[in-house]
Amino acid sequence: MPQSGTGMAEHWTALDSAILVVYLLGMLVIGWIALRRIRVFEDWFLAGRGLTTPILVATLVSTYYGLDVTLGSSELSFYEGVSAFFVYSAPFYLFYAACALLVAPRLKRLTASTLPEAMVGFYGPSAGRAAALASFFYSAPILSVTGMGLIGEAVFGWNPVLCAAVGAGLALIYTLMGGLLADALTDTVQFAIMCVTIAIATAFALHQVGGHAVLAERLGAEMLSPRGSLALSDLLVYFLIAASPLIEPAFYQRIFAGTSLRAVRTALLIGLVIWAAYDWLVVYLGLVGQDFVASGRLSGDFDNSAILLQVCAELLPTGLLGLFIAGLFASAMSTVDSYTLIAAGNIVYDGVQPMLKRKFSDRALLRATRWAAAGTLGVALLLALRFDRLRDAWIFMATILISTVLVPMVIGLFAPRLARPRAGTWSAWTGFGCAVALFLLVETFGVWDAEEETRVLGSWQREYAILITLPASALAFTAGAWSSKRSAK
Amino acid sequence: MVLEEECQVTFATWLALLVAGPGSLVVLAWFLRDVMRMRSRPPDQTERSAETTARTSSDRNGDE
Repeated sequence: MPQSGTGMAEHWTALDSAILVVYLLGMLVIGWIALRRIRVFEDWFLAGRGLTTPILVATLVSTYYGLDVTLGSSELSFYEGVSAFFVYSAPFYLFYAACALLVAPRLKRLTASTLPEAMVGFYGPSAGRAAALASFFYSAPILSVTGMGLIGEAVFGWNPVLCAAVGAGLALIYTLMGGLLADALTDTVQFAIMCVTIAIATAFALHQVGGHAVLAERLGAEMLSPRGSLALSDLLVYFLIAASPLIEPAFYQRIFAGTSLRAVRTALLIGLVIWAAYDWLVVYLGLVGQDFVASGRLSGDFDNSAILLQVCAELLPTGLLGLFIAGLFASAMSTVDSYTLIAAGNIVYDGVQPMLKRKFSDRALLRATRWAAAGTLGVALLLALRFDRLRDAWIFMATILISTVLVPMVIGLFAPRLARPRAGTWSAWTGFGCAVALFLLVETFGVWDAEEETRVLGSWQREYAILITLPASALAFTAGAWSSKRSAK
Repeated sequence: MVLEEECQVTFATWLALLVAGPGSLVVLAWFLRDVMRMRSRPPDQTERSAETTARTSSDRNGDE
């Protein structure tokens, strides 16, 4: 495997280290401050349902955009050019807007606290268990943990597993202390750091390299083509994956935790604009990376997932480089803490508690969920090295969630009269089963295709699973509804 | 792609830079204003609201 960054270590100084250490200590202090406000489970898990608009903007933006987006999008634009923005990022904006304007008002009417609990409300406990399982797979912070390992290796030359464990451990400590409140407060700081540092890096790139006219001349017009060289099947997969905001567990948790519908809606719409800006900057920096490699300024002998790190090490002066790495850790930690909290809730609140058919006391819930959070991060660490590309891992996780929850949840929210327990249960378990079975099939019998850079079984790529699993889930819903209607007659 | 379009793309990059950089600082300032307002609220009101949250949540979860 190519090394991810001898160049980065050369640029790193003591001042950069000091800035990074101050940032990490600051996160722990915020966790300690939040700990003093925790009285009951709802304070810990939903911040007492008191998140205001600015804190919602910050926590939504920083949670949803982890290292998978930051490193993954720059890696994709390094290969595919600006189509990374138009094909991969842009469809999401449509679904963010749908989430803000159509889904959030309906969710705010429910009394649920989590996505699986909402499924239980529509379809009963079995569908809720499928949703909890899918949400757990989706929320286990595999990508950001992998990303932190990548940064640590690039900056300090450390073992990636060790770096991932240290970063994830710090995020775990303040999340265990202060729950969603600590998560949201740290997210606010992390949001500002990650956005500002990406903006600064872009300003340096525009000054030193030039705009897109210069890049088009050097890299060729195809790198600036909106569709790029992607096949139609790839475009369809990306579009379907972009529907994930409609059933995003972190969005649901924040919608339930918001002070009002107005605060949630405004936050999502402001978030949409910031997400678009952030995506564009990251894609531009990926293009700059391609330019650096083409012109020989970077050797190209590194893991391309780390292209953004290499570019910024080239561009930023000492001090700002430390702030930028702190920003990358911020984007990873804000995702790790939030999704660890959700996955732990899936295990205890949505899984164990309903299975034992008893309500835990607040103290027992808090204790069990904190233990589950630690366990979740352990699982994420184990899974972190399973995927070769960050984008592939993200597509796998989103496929599981969308296949299990999208059809029943959307019908439950928008056509509740059609929401029969049997239909939702069949749909959720069929989608989940198909997604896992297809993944295992390609992993077991497939081979690595160097040209497509993924595992394939014949001409079938691992990432195409959603093209089968989503229709299967819809068919199972129809069959369940029909069977339910027949039984009623 | 003609040069004019490429200039527009560069303009979009500068715009995105302004939204992500100064824009995120505006959100941070907004958050700090909220915090200052909460801190300047009379203490008994903050305390009462926390107690209500605690009581409501305990009722819902059925303390054992």
